[in-house]
Amino acid sequence: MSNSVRLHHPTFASCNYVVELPQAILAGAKVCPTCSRPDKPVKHEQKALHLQLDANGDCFVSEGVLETLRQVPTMAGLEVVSAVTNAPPQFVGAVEQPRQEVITATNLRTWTPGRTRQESERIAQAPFLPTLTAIAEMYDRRLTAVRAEKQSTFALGK
Amino acid sequence: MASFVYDEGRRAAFGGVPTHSAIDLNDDALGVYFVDEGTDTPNQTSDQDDADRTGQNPTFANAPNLGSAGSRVTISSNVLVFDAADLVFTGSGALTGVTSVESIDMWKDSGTSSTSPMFANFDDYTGLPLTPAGVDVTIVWAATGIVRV
Repeated sequence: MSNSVRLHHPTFASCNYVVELPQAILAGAKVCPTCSRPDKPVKHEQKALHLQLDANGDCFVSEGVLETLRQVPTMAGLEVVSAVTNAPPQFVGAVEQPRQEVITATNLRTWTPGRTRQESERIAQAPFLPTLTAIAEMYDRRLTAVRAEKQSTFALGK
Repeated sequence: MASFVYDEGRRAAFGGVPTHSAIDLNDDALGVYFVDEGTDTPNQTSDQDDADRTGQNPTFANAPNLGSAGSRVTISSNVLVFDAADLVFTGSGALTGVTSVESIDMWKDSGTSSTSPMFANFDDYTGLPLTPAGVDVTIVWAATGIVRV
């Protein structure tokens, strides 16, 4: 039994094809790391499928995602090709993301600059920095106070 | 919103008075799952443990734990690194019943949902939001560590 389905778009290829699901409102719309550019943040008000179309206009989705897509009018222009058992694995985190065109089902287009692996690593580690900086500053203040106390004690001793 | 350390996670892992137990990043069982934010929006302040959350995928019981327990934290030349092997969510059981996931949660697995403190939420990792393709999904941690100080 296969778990993946190959889809094809007859018009678009080599892009990130975004299909927003109108029936799935996001409680907290936020900046999308995949669709945004540094100078142009993009927010999705609804849940959105991000489909990486290859050079042939093909992509892979799970059977559950396909069921959801069938509820979208005209399946957002996508066609079912076949069930597959050898779809490529997916990766998130400290990975490279190539510069790519983002196309929505309503034909809005933009380009994202992509991320190098190093940029992805920096972003992955970033959430800990404010917390750790605050802790480091707290300890630094304590050490400064201890040093000042020692110095004053030394001066009095002389 | 960007990725963040939960307030409970900060108190539990970095010194403070947590509601639940302290988090030992080196030794404790740390669970990881994806979050369907169409069901629940993570809250840095009010989400203290797994029972405060919905939208977990896989479920609390089925979520994999971070590997490398006992050797995740190293200190060398004044540099502290918290790291682990990349985490794989395998095959047909990965992200079933969900159309997309928007973030990743890390938490201490006490074995009981209501006493497993939330540690951190990551929503700007490259590759998120993720639309499942019915295949293995791997979280690739930074080569220089999940945390590096």
